Amino acid sequence: MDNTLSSLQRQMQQALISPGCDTGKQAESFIRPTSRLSAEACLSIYQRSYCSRLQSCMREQFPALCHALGASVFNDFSMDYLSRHPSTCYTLYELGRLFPDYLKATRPDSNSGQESSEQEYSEQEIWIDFMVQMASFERKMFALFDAPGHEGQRLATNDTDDKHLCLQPAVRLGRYDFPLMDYYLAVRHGASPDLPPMKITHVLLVRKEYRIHILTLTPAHATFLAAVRNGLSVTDALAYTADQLKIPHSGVLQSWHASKGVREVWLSAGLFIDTQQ
Amino acid sequence: MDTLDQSLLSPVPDLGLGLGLRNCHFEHILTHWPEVDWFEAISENFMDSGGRPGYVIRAIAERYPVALHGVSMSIGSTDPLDVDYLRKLKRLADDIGAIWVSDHVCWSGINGVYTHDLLPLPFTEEALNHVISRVRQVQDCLDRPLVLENPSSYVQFTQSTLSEPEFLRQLSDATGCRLLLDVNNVYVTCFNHDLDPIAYLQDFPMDAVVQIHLAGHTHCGTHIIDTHDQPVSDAVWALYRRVWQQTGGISTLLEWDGNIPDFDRCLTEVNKARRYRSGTMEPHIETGSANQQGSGVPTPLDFLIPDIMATMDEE
Repeated sequence: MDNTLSSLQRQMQQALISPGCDTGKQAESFIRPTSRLSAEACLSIYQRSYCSRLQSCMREQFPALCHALGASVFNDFSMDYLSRHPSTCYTLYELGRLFPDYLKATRPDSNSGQESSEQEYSEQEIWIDFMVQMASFERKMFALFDAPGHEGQRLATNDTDDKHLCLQPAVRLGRYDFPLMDYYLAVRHGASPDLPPMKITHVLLVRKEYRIHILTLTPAHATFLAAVRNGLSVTDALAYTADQLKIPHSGVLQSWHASKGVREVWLSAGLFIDTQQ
Repeated sequence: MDTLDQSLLSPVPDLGLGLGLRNCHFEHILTHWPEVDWFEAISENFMDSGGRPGYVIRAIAERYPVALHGVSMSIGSTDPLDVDYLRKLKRLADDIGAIWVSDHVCWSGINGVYTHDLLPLPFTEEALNHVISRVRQVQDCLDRPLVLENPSSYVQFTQSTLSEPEFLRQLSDATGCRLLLDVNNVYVTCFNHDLDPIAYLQDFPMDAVVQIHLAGHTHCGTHIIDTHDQPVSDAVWALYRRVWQQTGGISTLLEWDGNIPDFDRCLTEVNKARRYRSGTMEPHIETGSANQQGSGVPTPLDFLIPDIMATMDEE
């Protein structure tokens, strides 16, 4: 038997991240039993720990999805995810980074090969869409918490000229097929919401002074902010929005500049920094 | 650098009684600036922070001594050291003026995988030489002595030829690294491996110890799990008192990582140390009975994850 440190670490890690392998049964070849526990039982403490600790971290990172699935099913998804994508980063903050992609890639309705009625298929597909999109939404929220933000830069005020407005770094936009924000907030308030009916929603996440705020957006708001994020000036983005949505440019400008209008509300929410500092 | 600059090995002060810095206590600390001697922060929670954790640790470090305590250095792994990790760790340590930087005598994964566990090493000459070499590299990179902790362990390897205290003594002698003596881990490891904790402590290289950890555990009857989710047991307080008498005073810190109570409850718990070591409070030694009130999960990790749902603002 290879008694080197690297061999031992290979065996032990294999036993942890692939608990179905034979290493657990071979434990007595490299682990001493105690007066109360066999070698395999000693090793199983680490095996159980690996699963329960990382499952717990995943539940913390995806609380609304965990609520939707139930802890038991969520745990099963988490362990399958971690078996395909073991953590490769020293920080647990990255643990769930690929979870939305994993759910998308492994969705059972993508290539099931099974016959099902149109109604069954449709209901299944909607439920899975909801799971994937909720995972994506929660990952975005989680990453935003500790991402670089506006702190250290001056937020724009009502007095800032439009030409000096720039989206601050801690702003995220999302378009979803479900009212995810309503579901998320219901879970936050301790309710047990049902799967919501499909409804296209645009959501804005912004972190101001280290706190995350969620705002719902109209399609026009979302178009405008996406244009600004893609590099257009505020003036050009307003024109672009009017053009894209085929609405009068004057109406867009009025909505932007009105008292208690979009500009004022968003400046208050901390969406923009003042580039003239 | 085979031997450290001797000026880096000057006597380390007794900082008093400290607490592990936890996300759920941030608001309380920033609001009340409580009377606690010092804090220990989990390095990995702050190294990459562009958000609130980074702000909080800097604000706290302006008012309290702060030590950095890592869980992912993986000093015993046969993977290459993560140079990017060490560079970020040094930057954070320099930035906040960390009083020292610690981690565990363990490995966390190989082949690029992190299990996020503190996995035990075999106490062999090969492992010792491997860790000595890596500690020297880390100390070169951090430009300061590394402080290493004895982890709790649930397995003993058949190929081990050294005891844990002897392994740590030789490691410290060869590298100049300092040691963090986790008294709860001594109790847990010794129970799990049928060892005598008093003999363990007698063999421990106390002259290299700069810090003590205290924490709670869960007794499962056949074994003990290092759960950090309840008060310190009387048996551990008794060992702590012995260490205190053996050393004459070392910076002491309480870790509470699961079912974390409010800040004042944690402070009350660590302040018990004064009474135990002075003899005004006597521990009642356990008889090894099971006490499964805790989670049964070794060193829970979920305390490292910020509760985004609780801290966000609604429209």
